[in-house]
Amino acid sequence: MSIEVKNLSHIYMQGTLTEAFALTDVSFTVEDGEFIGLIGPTGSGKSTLIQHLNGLLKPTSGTVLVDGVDIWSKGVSLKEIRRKIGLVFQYPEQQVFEETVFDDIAFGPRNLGYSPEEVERSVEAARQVVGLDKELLSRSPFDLSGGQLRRVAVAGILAMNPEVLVLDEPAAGLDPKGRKEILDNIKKLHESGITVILVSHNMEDVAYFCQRILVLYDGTLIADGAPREVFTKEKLIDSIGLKPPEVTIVMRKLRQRGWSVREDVLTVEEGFEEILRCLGTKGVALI
Amino acid sequence: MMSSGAIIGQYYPTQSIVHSLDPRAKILICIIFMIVLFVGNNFYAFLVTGIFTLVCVFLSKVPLKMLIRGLRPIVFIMIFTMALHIFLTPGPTMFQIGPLKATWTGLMQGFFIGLRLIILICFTSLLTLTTSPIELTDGLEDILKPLSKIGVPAHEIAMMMTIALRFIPTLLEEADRIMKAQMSRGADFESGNIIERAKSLVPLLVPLFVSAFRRADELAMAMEARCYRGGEGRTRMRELKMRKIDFVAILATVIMSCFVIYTRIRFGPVLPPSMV
Amino acid sequence: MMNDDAAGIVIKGLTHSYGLDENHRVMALAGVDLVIDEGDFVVILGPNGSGKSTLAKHLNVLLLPDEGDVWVFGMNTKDPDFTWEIRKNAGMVFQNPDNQIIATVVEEDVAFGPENLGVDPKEIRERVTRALEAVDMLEFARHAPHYLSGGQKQRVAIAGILAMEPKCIILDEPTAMLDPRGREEVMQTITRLNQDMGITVIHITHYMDEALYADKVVVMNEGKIVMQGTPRDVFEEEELISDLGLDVPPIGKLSRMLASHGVPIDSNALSVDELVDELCQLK
Repeated sequence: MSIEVKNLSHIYMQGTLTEAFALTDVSFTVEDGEFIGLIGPTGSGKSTLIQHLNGLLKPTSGTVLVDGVDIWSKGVSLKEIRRKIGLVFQYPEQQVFEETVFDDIAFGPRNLGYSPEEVERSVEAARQVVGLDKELLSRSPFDLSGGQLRRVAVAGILAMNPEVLVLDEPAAGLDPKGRKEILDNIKKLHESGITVILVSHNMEDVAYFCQRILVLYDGTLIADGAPREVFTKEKLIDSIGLKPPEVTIVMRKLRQRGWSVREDVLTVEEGFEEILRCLGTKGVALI
Repeated sequence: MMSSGAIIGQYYPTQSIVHSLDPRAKILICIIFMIVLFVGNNFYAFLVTGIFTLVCVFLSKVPLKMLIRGLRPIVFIMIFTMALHIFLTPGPTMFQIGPLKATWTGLMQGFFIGLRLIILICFTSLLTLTTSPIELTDGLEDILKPLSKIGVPAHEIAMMMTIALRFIPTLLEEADRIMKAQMSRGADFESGNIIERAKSLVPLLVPLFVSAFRRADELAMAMEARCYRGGEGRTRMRELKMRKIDFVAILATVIMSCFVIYTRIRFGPVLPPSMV
Repeated sequence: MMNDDAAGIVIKGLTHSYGLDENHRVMALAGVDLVIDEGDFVVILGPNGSGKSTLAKHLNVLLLPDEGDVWVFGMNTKDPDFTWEIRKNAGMVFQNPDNQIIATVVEEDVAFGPENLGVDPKEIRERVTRALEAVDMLEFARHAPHYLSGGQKQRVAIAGILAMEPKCIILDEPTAMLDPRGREEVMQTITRLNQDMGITVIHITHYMDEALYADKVVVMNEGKIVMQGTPRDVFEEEELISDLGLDVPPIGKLSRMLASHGVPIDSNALSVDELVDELCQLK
C-alpha cells in the first residue's frame, strides 16, 4: 500500500494562538514496506503531518492519496483509512480506558465491527507481537506498569491489522531496556511486512532502524533521503538544531583533524571498523 | 471545536483606564451594578444602565464587536425567556396560536428581560476582558478576606481559581489529543442517537479524568515541595493599591445607582408588578 | 535530632514500602546508605521502578522512612519541626513540567515559593528577577507558561525553586519528557547552577549520557544502591550496567571496543572530544 502526500499545506484555525503550527507545501511518497524516520525539532509540524496521514486533520490545501485515492474524496471511509494506517500517539498509555486489558485492546477491532471470534483472534495476535503476558489480559490496565501499559496501547492499534504503522515517539519516557524492547518489536513488525513511519528525537535510533529519513523544519520538508545522506549534510542538520548520532560526530571531528575516515558512519560497529581500518593504513601498532 | 465564541473568562490585553483600575474596585463596581440592574424596573433605569455600560466599553477600548460576538452563546436562552414571557404573561392579546396567547404586556416584559440579560452579560464580560486572571484572583481574595473570619475560605477560593485557569488550556489540549487517539482506533464521536453519542464519550472521559486526577496529585506534591501550607503567613509579590481614579469610578457607580433607585421610587414600575 | 555529621545529605539504612495492606507491600527502598557532599553534582541512574523517585521524595520530606534516617544539612526528616526548613533548602523539580507550574504567568509562578515562605514583597520581586536570570528566562517573565516549550517550562520550574534560595536542588527525571534541545537546555542550566552558584545538584535520569556531567554517579536497582563512583568508574562495569537494563553511552562502547582490540587508548573515554583526543595522540 502506498501513501502519497501532494503539496500538503495546513493552517490551523485562524485566530487561535496555535496558528503558527502549520505545514507548507509538503510532498513525499511512502512505498509499501518502507521503514521511514520522521525527524525535526519540536514544533516543526511532525504531529500535524502524521495526523493528516490517517485523516484526523483535513489539509488546507493539497491532497493525501492512499493507494491512489484521495482520502477526502466522496465515498472514502475514513474509518477504513484509520484501520489501514494505524497511528500510535505519543504517550499512548493515556488513551487506555477499559476495565480489562483485553477489552482495551479489543476497542479498535470492535469499532470496526469484527465478530467476537475475529476480535479474540486479533487481540491474541497483537498481544503476542508486543510480548504481553497472557494472564495480564484479564487485569485492569490501571494495575500495570508504565512499560506494560505502553505495550497495551500499541497492541490496541495492532489489533486493527494496520498495513502502515505510524508511531509518534514510541519510546518516550521509557528506560533503556523498555526502549530497546519496544523498538525491537517495531523492527519485527517491519520485517513481517508492515510499513513503518517512526517519529523520533533519538538520532541513534533513527540511524539504526530507518532506511529513509524525512526532515521537517518549520512546516517544510527540507530533506528526504537515506540516513547516510541526511546525516552528512552537516550544515543543514546543524542549522536546524538537530544532532547526528555521536559516532558520526566523532568521524566528523577526526576528518577535521586530518584523518581519512568515511563521514557517513552511523553506528558504533561501523565506527569501530572504520577507525581500525584507518589506523591500519596509518601503521599504528596495535598491542 | 474548542473555540465556541464564548468570551466570558477571556482577557483582552490593551492599555486603558478601565484596564488600569484596581481589580477590587472593578469587582465592587460589578457587584453594585448587578444589584442595581435588578433594582431598576422602568424605562429610565434601563436607559441609564445601558448608557453606563456603553461608556465603560468605550473607555476600555474593547471593540464593541467582540462583546456582541460574546453574546452569541446566550441567544438561545434569551429567545426562550422572551418567548415564555410573551406567551405566559396575562394582558391584552396581541395574537393567538391555538391555545397560546401572546400579549402586549408579555412582549414589553420579555423585551426588558432580554435587555437586562444583554446588559448583564456585557458588563460582566467587560470585567474579565479588562482584568487579567491574576489580578482578578488577587482582587477576589482581598475582597473576600474580611469574610474569612466567618469561615469563607478566601485564599482557597482564589487559589482554586488560579489553578483552574492555569489548567483549562492544558486539559482542552489533552481532550483533543485523546479524542484523536480514540478516533485512530475507530471511535466515532459524531454519529448516532443521543444515547449512542453519550456512550461514545466514555473513551474520552475516562482517560481525561484519570489524567486530571494524576495531574492533581502531582501538582499537590509540587506545591508542597515549594512550601505551600495554605494562606497563613503567605505574602504576595504584587500588592494591590487603590488610587484616586479607583475611588472616582466607584463614586460614579454609586451616583448612577442612586439615580436608578430614585427612578424606581419616583416613577414606580413602568411595567406590570408581576415582572419585578 | 541534629546530626553531628555536617555533610550535605546523609542517608542511613533507609527502607520504604508501598501498598494497601501487609500482604501486598512493594519494597521501593530496601536499605539505602548514601552520603552526598555539599556542592556535588550527583546523578542517580537506574531502570524504571528501581526506587530513584522514592529516594528523591525522602530528601524533600514528601515521604518519611519506614526504617532508617535521612539527614538533610544536618536536619532529620523525621522531625516535623524541620519539614519546612528542609523543603526550603532542598528544592525539588519534577518530571512533568505541566504539573508543577501553578500560575498563569511565568513570574507569578516563580514567586510562588518565596510567597509561601512569607518573604517581603520587594525582596520577592528581586529574587524572581535573579532566578529567571539564572535560568536565562527573564525575557519570558510576563508570558503564559502554557505556550512555552518543554525545556523552557522546566527552566521556569527550576527558577521557582531557585527563588526559595536553596542549598540543594533535587531533580526527579526533569528531562524524561523533553526533546534533545530541551534536555540540553536543562542540563546546561543545572550544570551552571552547580558550578557558578555552588548549589548541590541531585539529578535523577535514565539517559545515560546525562551521567557524564556528574561528579558522582549512583546506580540503583530494586531499591538498593548497586554501584557508585565517578562516571568512568561506573561505565567501566559495562556488563553490570547492561544486566541492569541500562546502557553505556555509544562513545563509551566504541572506546571499549577499540581498546579491547588492541588500540592503545583509554577504554574509558566517554565523550566525543575525549575519544577524538585520545585517537589523535596515536599519530
